[in-house]
Amino acid sequence: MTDLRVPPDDPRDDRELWDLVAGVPVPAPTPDFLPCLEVRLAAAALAGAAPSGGGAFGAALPGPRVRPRRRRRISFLAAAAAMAAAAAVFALVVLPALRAPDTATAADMLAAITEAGGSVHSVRLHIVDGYVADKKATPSPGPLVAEVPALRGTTITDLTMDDSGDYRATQTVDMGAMHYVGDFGYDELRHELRTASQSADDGVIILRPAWYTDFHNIDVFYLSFQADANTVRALLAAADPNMPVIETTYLGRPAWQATFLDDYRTGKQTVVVDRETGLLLAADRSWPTEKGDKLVSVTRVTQMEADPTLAKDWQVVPSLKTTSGRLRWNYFRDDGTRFGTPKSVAALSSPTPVVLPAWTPSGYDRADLATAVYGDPRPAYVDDNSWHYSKETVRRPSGSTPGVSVSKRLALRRCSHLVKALYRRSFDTFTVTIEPRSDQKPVEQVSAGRRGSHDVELADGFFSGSTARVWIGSTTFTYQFEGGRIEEEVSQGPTLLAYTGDWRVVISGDLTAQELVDVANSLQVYGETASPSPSPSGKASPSPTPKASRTATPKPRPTSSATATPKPTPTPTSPATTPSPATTASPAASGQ
Amino acid sequence: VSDRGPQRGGELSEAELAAARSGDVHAFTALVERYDHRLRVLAFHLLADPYATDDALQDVYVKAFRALPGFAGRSSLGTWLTRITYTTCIDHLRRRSRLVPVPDLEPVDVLPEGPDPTDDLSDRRHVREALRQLPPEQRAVVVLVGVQGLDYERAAEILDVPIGTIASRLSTARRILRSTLRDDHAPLVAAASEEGSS
Repeated sequence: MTDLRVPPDDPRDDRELWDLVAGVPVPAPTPDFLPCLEVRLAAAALAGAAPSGGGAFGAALPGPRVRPRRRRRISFLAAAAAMAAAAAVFALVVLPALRAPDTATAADMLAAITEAGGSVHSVRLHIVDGYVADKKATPSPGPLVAEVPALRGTTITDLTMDDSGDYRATQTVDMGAMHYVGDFGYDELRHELRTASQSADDGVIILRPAWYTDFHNIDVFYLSFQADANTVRALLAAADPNMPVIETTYLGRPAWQATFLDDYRTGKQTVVVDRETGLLLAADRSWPTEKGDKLVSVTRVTQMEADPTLAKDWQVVPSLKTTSGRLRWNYFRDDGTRFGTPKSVAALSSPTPVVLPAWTPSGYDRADLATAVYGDPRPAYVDDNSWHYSKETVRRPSGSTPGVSVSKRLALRRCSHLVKALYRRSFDTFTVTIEPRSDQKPVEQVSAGRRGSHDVELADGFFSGSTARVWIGSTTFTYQFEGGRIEEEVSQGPTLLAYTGDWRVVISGDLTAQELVDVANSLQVYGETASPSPSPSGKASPSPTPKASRTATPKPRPTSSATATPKPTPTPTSPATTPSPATTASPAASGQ
Repeated sequence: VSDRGPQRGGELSEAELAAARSGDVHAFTALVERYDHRLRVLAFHLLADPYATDDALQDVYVKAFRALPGFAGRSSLGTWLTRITYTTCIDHLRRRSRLVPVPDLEPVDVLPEGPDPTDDLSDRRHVREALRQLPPEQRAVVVLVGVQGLDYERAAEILDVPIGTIASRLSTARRILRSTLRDDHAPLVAAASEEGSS
C-alpha cells in the first residue's frame, strides 16, 4: 500500500489517491433522463437529418472527410431532377424541421401545456426565489438554466405535492434580519393543514377542517409560486398566437420557454414550463423601479423529481411530543370551515348561496366545496380549554391535556358565511368563491392597473348583467376565507371579480381570461331549476333569473332566506353544450 | 479501465454502430446506455451538480447523434464521445461562470427524526469537495488518467493539449489533493488507507 506521506514519483501510480477519488459517488441519471433524451433525439432526427460532422467538436478529432470539389458537367435533365429532389426534401424534411424546435409558437405551447399533466401524479421540487436589484440587472438573455445567480431576499422551498391536493413544503426565508424556517403540510383527505416553524417552542398548529390555501397559516411564497404558474396559460392565450417560444431542456427535461412584455412594455417576464407536467420551472420578472434601477425577480426550480417515492403520511407535519422534557404545544384549531355536499353546505351557509359553474374547461372536476366564517359575526370560541361566547364563558370542556391547546369556533349558524369551491385538473386548480359584499365600491375601482385588466359584461348566470373585472397578472386580489379582514390580499394569478346585489364572486386560478368569463357566465345557484345552457363563449344566451336573493343581508343571522334554502331534491344545472374553441366543455358542477 | 470499448455492456457491434450512425434512435440509445457511466463520471466531476450533469449529457448525446454519421473511426468511439463530453461541459461551465451555486438545504429541526438520505454520501463528501477545488482542466485529467486509467496520449487527444500538459496537470492536481486531504481530512485519509491495506 502506498504511504500517503511518501507518494510515488509518477502521479499515475498514486493508486491510493485515485481510488479515493474514484470512490466519490456519481449520481445515477434521473428516471426521466432516457425518455427525455429519446424525445430530443427524435426531434433531432426529424429536424436535421443533417450530420454536422465530428469535426465540429475539435480539430484533434477525426471528422468527416471533406470531398474535394470536382467540377462536374451536369446535364440539364440531371439538374432538373436534382432541383425536384431538393424541393421534395425541402417540403418533406426541411419545412417540418423548421416548424419543429426553433419556431414553436405561443399557440403550440398553449395547446401542449393545456394537454399536459396526467402522466405524473406527484412531484418534488427544490425552488429558489429571490431578486436582483441594480442598474445593470437584466433577465437572462438566453434559455434559463437551473443555476441561480446571487440573490437577495432568498427563499428556498422544498415542495412535494400530488394531484390529489396533498402537499408538503419546507421553506427557508433569508431576508437579512429575517431568517425563518417553516414546515407546512396539507392532507386533502382529512382537510387538515399543519404548520410548524423551526423553533419547536412555537409549537405545531393543526388546523382542521382547513382549506388548502389558508394563507394565514401557510407561507405566501407557496401561493406566489402557484400564482405564477397559473398565469402562464393565461398569458399565452392573451399573446399573439404566432409569438415565437423556445423549445428547450431544463433539468434534463423537455420544456418550453416564453417571454411576455407587460401592458406598459417596460417590464418583462420569462417563464420555463415543464413539457410533461405543465409545471412552472423557472421565471424571471423584471421591471424598472422609481429610482431608475431594474429589479429582477428570479424563481428557479433547481431540482425536480417526478413521481418520487413517498413515505406514508409524507404530507403530515408531525405533532410534537409533549412528554419529552420541556412542555411543547400542539395547537388544534377549528376556525369553522365546513366541507360538504352542495346541499349540506347550503344549509349552513345560507343566506350566502352556493353558486357553482355549470361549465368548466375540459379535465377540471370539483374537488372541494366548503363554507367558512366570514365577517365579524361575534363568533364563539373554545380557547385555552374554556368555552366562550362573546364575553361569557359558556361551559368548560371535559378534561385538559398539558401540551394540547384547543381552539374551536362555535355557534357557526350565528356567523355569516362565504362559499368556496375548488376545481382540480392534475396540478392545476381554480376556485369559485361567493361571499357577502363588504362595500359598494364599483368593480371598476377594484384592481386597477393590474396586468391585462379589462372589464366584461357578464351575459349569463347568477351574475348576469354585472360588469366583471378580469386580470391575468399574478399580483394580488382580495382573499377572504377566515379572519374577517377584507383588506387581506394574497397573490393568486388570473382572476375575475364581479358583484351582484349583496354578493361578490371571485374566480381565480389556472384559467385563461376567456375561460374565467365562460365560467362566470355559467354560474348557477345550487337548487335552482336549470337555466338555458350557458355558452362558454360568453355570447348571448338568455339570462337565467336566479331565484336566490341577490340582496340577502349577511348580517347577524336572520331567519333563513327562502331563496337560499336548499330544495329537498336538488336539480343539477345543465352542462354547457358549446365549448370554447380552445377548450372542451366539461359538465362541471352543480349537482352533488 | 481501457479506453478501447464501452465500460458497461460489452463491445458495440458493427451492426449496432451502423444502426446508430444511420439515425436509428433506439440503436443510439443503446449506445448511450453503454457509454453513459464513464461520460457521467467525467461530466459530474466537471460540473459538480447532478442535474447540470444530466443537462450537459443530454446535449452531448444530441450532438453526438447528429455528428455520428460523419464519425470516421480514426479514434475510438469512446475517445470521441469523451471529447464531446469535455467540450460540452466546459461550455456549460463558461455559461454559468457568472452564477452562484445554491447551497444544500439543511434539514429542519421539526422534521421527523430518521436517517438522512445523504448519509451514505457524506463520508466521501470532503474528497469531492477537495476535487472541486481544482480547476476543471485538472479535474478532467484526474478523472481520465487517475480514475479511468487512460494513458497520457489519449488524454491529450481528448483534451486537445500536449502530452506534457497532461503530465503537468496531473502532477499539480495530485499535489493539491494530497495537501488538502492531509491538512483538512487526515482522519479520513488514514481510515481509507487502513481499509485499503486490510
